[in-house]
Amino acid sequence: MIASKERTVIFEVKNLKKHFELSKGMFKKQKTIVRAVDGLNFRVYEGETLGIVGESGCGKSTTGQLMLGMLDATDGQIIFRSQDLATMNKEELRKARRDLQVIFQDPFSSLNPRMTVEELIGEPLIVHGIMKGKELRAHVLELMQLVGLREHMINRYPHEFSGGQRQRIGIARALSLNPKVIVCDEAVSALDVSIQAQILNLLNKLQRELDLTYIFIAHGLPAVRHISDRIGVMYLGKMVELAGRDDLFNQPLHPYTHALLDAVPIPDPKLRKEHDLIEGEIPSPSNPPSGCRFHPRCPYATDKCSKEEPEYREVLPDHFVACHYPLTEVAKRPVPSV
Amino acid sequence: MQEAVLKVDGLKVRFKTEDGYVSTVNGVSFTVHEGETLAIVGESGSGKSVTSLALMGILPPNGEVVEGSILYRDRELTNLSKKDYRKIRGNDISMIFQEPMTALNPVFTIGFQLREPLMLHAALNKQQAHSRAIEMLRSVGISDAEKVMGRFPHQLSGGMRQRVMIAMALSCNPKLLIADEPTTALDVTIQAQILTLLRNLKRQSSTSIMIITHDLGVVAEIADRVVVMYAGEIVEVATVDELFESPQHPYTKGLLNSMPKIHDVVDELYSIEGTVPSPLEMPTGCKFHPRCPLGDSECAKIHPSLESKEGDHLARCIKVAKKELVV
Amino acid sequence: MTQITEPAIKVTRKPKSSSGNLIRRLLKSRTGMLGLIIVLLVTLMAIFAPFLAMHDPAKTDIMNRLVPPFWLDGGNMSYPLGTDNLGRDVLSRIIYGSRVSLLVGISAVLLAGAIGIVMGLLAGYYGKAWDFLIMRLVDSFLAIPSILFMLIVLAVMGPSLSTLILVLGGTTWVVYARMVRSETLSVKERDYVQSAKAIGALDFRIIVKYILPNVISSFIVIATLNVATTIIMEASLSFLGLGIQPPDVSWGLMLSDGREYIATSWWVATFPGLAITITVLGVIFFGDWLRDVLDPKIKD
Repeated sequence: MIASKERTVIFEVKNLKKHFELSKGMFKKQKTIVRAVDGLNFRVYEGETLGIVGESGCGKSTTGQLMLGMLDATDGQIIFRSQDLATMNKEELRKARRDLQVIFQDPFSSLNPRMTVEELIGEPLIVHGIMKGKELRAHVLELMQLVGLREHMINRYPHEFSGGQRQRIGIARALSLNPKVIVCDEAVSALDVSIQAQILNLLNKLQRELDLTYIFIAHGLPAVRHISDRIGVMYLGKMVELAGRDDLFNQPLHPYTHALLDAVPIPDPKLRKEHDLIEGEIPSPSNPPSGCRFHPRCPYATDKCSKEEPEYREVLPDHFVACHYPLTEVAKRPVPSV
Repeated sequence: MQEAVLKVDGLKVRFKTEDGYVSTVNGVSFTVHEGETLAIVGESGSGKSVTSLALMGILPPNGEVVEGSILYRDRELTNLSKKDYRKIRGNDISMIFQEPMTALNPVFTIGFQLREPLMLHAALNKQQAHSRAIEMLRSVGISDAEKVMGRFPHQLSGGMRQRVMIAMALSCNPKLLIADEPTTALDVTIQAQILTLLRNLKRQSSTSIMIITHDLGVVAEIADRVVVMYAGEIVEVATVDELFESPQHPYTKGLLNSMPKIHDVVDELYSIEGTVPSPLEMPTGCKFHPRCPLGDSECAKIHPSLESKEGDHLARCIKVAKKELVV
Repeated sequence: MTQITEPAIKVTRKPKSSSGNLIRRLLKSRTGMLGLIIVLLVTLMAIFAPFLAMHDPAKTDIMNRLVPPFWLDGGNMSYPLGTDNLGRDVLSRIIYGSRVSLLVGISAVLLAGAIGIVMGLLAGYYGKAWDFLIMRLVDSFLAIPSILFMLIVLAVMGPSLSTLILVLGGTTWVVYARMVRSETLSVKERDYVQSAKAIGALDFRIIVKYILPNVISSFIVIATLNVATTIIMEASLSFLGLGIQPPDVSWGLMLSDGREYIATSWWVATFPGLAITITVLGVIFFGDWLRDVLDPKIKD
C-alpha cells in the first residue's frame, strides 16, 4: 500500500445518497423509496485499488455507477479531482468520463453483438474524436496485445469468443481512452476459476504498467482480498467498515464483516468447521431496520443498536467502522443475547 | 464400504446440433455410496451439469444417452420409460437447482406445491399433508412455516426459495439428492446457512448427496469424495482430504492454485493458460495437454485412462501413471 | 446479484461466413425455401411483365369477352386463363397486377416502417414526454377503425397509386412504433448500452449503432409478414373502388371486376384471388423462416 503521506486523493465521496422511487399499485400511486445508497463517506487515493464488498441490495453497484457519473446522486457529493460531478455541465462530464471507465460483470451482455473487436475497442477513440483510420487500427492492435488478444481476432464478433476473452475485449475497450480510474463492477464474478485468475493477474499487470486506480466492486471476497489495497464493506446502503485489506481480514471490527468473512467457504477440508452463522435474511433496502441496519441479525445487538444509528468513525488509524460496539472494545461489549 | 446407491458406468451423452452430433460427456463412470456426499467439480463446458441431467432423465430434447449404464440400486435407468422415470424422480432421486425460481411454479402457493406430491405419492389427506409440509419447512430452518405456506414463490428471497426447494426435494425421503450448483446464486452468508443445512441433513438421514459445483470452497466444506471433470471426462477421483492435500492431475492442481485464498495472499495467482476446448475441436490424446504445463508430444498422442496411483485415488494422466510427476 | 447461467450445452462455432450460413439454413427449411421461390417468381414476374404478358392488359376486345380458360370448352391457348367481361386477358392482367401489388405492399411497409422506427426509437429511448405524446398518438390511431379512416382519406384526396401507398403507410406505422418502442426499452437496459454511455457516446450514436441494429431483426420479421397484410389491404381497397383505378390494374381491382360474373364466369375473379393467396402465403412462409433465422432465441 502507498504510504499515507504521499497519497493523493482522486475521489472524495461525501454523504452520498441515491434513492430510487418505485410506484406500486395501478390506481393509488403508492410510492416506495428504495434507499440504495444512504450516506456514504470515503476517499479513493490515486494508484490504489479500493475494494467494495457486500451482499445483494447493499448498494455497491449503485455506488459504482454514481462514481462513473452514470447516475445522478439524490444528495451528497462525489468530488473527482477537486470537482463535484454534480456541478459539471454535459461537456465537462463527457470529458471527465474519459478518465472514468468501467468493466462490467457479464462479458456476454456488455459487448454490442453487432460490432467487431476492432469497432468495440476503437469506438471510444472515435467518439471522442481522438483517432481514426490506420492510426486507430494500429492502436487497437496495441491494446489487443496489451490485454492478451491475438491480432487475427480483430475482425471477429463477440459471440465467437469465450467468456474470458470477451472480458479481455471489455478491458481493452475501457483502456482505450487511457483512463485514470476503472470501476470493475463484478468484473471476474461470472468467470470460471482458472479464467478468473488470468483476468485478476491481467488487471494487476495493467495497474502497474498504466498507473491505474481501481474501484473493485464484488461479492466474492477471495478475489477482492487478492486485488485490493483497502476494502470497504457495505450493508444496506451504508459503509459499515473500511480498512486496509490485511487489517480488515485479520481484525474485522464490525460484527457483519466478521460474519461475512466467516461465511466464506475455505478450500481446505482440514479447516472445515461450524460457521458462526448469522441468522435471518437480508432486509429490503426499501424498509431498512431502525438504528443500526444490521441489528436484527447481529448477535451482539442491544437496545441502543435498534434506536441509535452508529456513527461512521475512524476507530484505529485508517480503519473506519460504523458500530456502537466494535469488536476490539470487547470489554465494553454486552453479553450476546442468544 | 457402504452399499452403492448409484452406479454410473461409461456414460456417454451427445447432442444433436446444426454442426452434427456433439459429445459432451464421454465415458463417465463413478459410484455414489449410501450416506456419502459426492461432489462433481468442473468449469463450464466440463460436462458436469449434463451428467446430472442425464442421471435424472431430463436431458433437453436434442440430447441423448448413447452409451453406458446408470444403475440405481441394481435398477437400470437408461432404458426406463418416461413414466417410470418420473416415479423414480418423485420417490427415490430428487434434485435441487441453482435457481429455485425456475423449479417452483409461480402461480401456486408454497403450501400447495408442498402438499401436492405428498397427497399424490404418500397418499396423505389434505390435513395430514399440510401438517407434514409445515414440519418439513421447519426442518429446513424456516421458523415461520405457517406464513411461508401461504406465500407465492416470488414473495420469498433467494435463500428462502432454496430452503423450500430442499424441503420439497426431501419430502418423499429420497435415497439420493442431486444438487446442481445449489448455492451459486446466493449471497455468501446465505450460502453458509444452506451448506450448514445440507450438512445437518446428511447427519440426520441416510440420504446420499451428489453436489455439482464449480466452487472448490463449497467442495471442501461439504464433500466426502470428489470427482473432477474436464472437457466431458473425469480426470481425477479422490477423497476430499486427499484431493486437497495431494492432487494428482495437473488440471486439479492448476484449479486449486488459481483460486485466490482468503488467508494467504500471493502477488500473482497461478493461472491455467488458454480456455476450455469446444466439443467441436477436441484436442487429440489427453484433452488437457494444450493447456498443461507438462504437456508434450506424447500427451498429444496417447489418450490416458483413469488409473489408480494408490487405493481409490484415480487420475487420468500418463505422467502421473509413470510417476514422473513430483508431488 | 446476477449470475450467468450457462446453457447446458454451449458450442462455440467456428467462424463461418454468415451468408453461407443463411443459405445452408434456408436449404434445411422446406417452407422457407418454398416461400423464397414464390417471392422470387412474383418479383421476376413484376419486373419482366412486358416480356411475359401476351396481351396489353388494358386492351379491351368485346368480341372475345368472357372466354373461358383453355382447358374448358370454348377456351383457347391465346387466352390461357380466359378473358374478363371486357375481353381483357386475365393472365396478362395478373402479370401486370403483380407490379402494383408488390409496389404497394413493399413501399407502404417501408414508409410505415420508417415512420414507426423513428417514432418507436424516440419514445423508447427518451421516454417521458416523448413517450407520452407518441404513444397517445399511436393509441388514437389504433382507436379509429383503419379501413374507415383509409376510405375517408382516399375519398377526400382522390384515389391514386401514391395516395394509396401514403394512406396504407400512414395508418400501419403504429404497429412498428409499438414494437420498436418496447424492444428499445429492453435493449437500452442492456449492459452494452451502458458501456456506450460509459465511453461518453452521444445519444445519436447510441441509438444508431447500439439500439437500431438490435431491434431491426424483429422489425424485418414483422415487416415481411405485413407485406402480406398490405397486399390484402390494397386488394380490399381496390375491391371497394377506392384503390387502383383503371386503366391501371391490380389483383384487388380484378377481384372487384369479376365479382358480378362469379356465378357464370368464375375464372375472372378466381385467378387473381389465387394469385393473392399464393403470394401472401409465400411471403408468410418466407417471413416465418426469416424470424427463425434472425431470432437467436429460437435458434437451435
